[in-house]
Amino acid sequence: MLAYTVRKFLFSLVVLFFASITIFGLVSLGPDPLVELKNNPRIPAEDVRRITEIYGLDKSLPERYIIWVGGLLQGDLGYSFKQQSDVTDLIVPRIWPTILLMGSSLIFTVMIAIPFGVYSAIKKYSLVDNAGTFLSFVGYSMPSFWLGLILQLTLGVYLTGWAGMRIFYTSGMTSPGGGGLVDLLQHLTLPVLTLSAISIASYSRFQRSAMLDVLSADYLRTARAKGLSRRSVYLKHALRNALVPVVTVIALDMGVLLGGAVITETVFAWPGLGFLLADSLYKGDYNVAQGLLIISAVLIVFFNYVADIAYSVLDPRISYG
Amino acid sequence: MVEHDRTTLGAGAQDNAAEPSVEEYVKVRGRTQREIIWRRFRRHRLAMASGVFLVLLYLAALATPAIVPYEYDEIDYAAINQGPSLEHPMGTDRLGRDELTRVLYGGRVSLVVGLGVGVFSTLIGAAVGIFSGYYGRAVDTALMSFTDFMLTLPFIPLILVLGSIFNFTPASITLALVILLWMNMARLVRGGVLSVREQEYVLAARAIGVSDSRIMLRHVLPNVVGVMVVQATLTVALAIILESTVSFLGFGIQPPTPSWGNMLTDARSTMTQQPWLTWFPGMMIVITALCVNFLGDGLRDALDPKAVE
Repeated sequence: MLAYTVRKFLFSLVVLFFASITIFGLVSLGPDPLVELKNNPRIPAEDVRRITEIYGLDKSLPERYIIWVGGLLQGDLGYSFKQQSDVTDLIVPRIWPTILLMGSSLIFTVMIAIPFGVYSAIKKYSLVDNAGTFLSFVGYSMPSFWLGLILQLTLGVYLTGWAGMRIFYTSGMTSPGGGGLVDLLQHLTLPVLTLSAISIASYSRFQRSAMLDVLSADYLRTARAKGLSRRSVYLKHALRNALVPVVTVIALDMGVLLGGAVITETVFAWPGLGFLLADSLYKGDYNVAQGLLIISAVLIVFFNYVADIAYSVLDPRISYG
Repeated sequence: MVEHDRTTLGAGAQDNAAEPSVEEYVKVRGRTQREIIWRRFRRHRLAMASGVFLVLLYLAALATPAIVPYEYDEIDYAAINQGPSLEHPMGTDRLGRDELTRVLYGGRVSLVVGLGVGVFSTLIGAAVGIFSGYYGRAVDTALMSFTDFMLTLPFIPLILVLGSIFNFTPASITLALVILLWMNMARLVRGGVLSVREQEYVLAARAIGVSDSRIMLRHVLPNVVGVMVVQATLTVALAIILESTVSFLGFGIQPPTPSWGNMLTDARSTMTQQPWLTWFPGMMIVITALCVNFLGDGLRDALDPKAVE
């Protein structure tokens, strides 16, 4: 087990090394960050040369890569030329809103999807199950940004007009001046619904098939045969094992969370990491984009590792070979 | 990423099918593999309807310049911001451009990108999967490590950065999506190849001196075609959704070329006043992706080698 953990860890480090090269190489294909200075005829060439030197842009790409990685290891994500600020300082205030949004929608998703998936498996091909199957197809086919727009239009604009008062806000995290927990919930609801709707579609189907796999197992027939109550058979014997693959998928999805965050946060102007990425790309600020790319690579690799380990711990049948 | 659990929609119908009479049973024996697959596919009504709809949509997209009475950039200040009417079935936008015309032109981008990504990621994924599964050992380790590495790249942030650096055209966004989406195909095909590689008939073919490439194409590939077709439809639907998302965020297809994604960027600023501009392109994305997914579901049932006629 220990050897397996260590080997997976080393593999993760190798993956991260290649990911950092890919990200650095890609961003270096982007436009020269000092192009505006260089095109400005009123700035003498001498000054441009000095600024280039200060930012280390006169060095070769491999040298700059080593400097960048050295900084990363000390928690320094680089410097944004566009916004005249450390990238870390721009990123840190955006972390909490993203965790809040993603955490809320994960809790909401799990609360709906797991009971629904279990119920669908127990009542296979019932009306509820077939409706769930159809809805999950719609869910996979729905671009999350459009679902967000439609929720803004219906539960935002139309509901407000119909009720005569603002029930859900369609952008931002808090009203100007702040407004406490109720105000936060009014802002949080629509983005959480947007993110959850599509995850519920896939998690509930995933839970359903995991449950179906377990339901046909021999030990379950034994449990039924020895006269255990249905409740005990389903919840104690079946669900425990059927949760293992789902927990793994959730861990894997935590890694790609920043990708989903970009879309939903941009639609709802939610001040998190994803919105920061879109915003920095609109501004042509590739220093910030590079920092966010490496953060999301680290998250993905980390959660892949967690999922691997969780799977082997939770399911003793997995060999550590 | 979540592997979508593609639960069969048509399964109920199959269970209820009446027991065949003797004559029918004899007829069944005489059917070729192709007829069997076609019969099974036809039984999945949603998949049939989706297939027909998609064919019509592709034909409409091909023939768009010939069948629509307006141009996608034809500005008509006498008809700005009109709701749906007989003359403009999907209404007009703030420049008086006919929304239906723009939806059809936008569809060309989505459909071409979707199909292109489906075809090329299938070719690349299948090639990697077959080599990896068939040769095993060092080839397998190298190719699968690379596949796993590609799967750990943060692909939505990456494609946005790519779009922002390179200004996507339909061709280049197809290329970018292929690079980021071939990996699941490779893993599936490899799994399929591994499961048939040790079968006796492959061994027999090798024993009589059939070349590696012929074994792969004639003996191994046909066994994984079913899995590939289904994965390909999933990829097409995903590519359509991703293209529209990237274009919506402003990093994909740029105006004045209409695409469903960038039309929605435009529509968003006046969503309250002209809601139809938000409804129609979005519904087209959902319906198209849904049809592709239903088609895949039907094909999965039809091509399942274990299913009994």
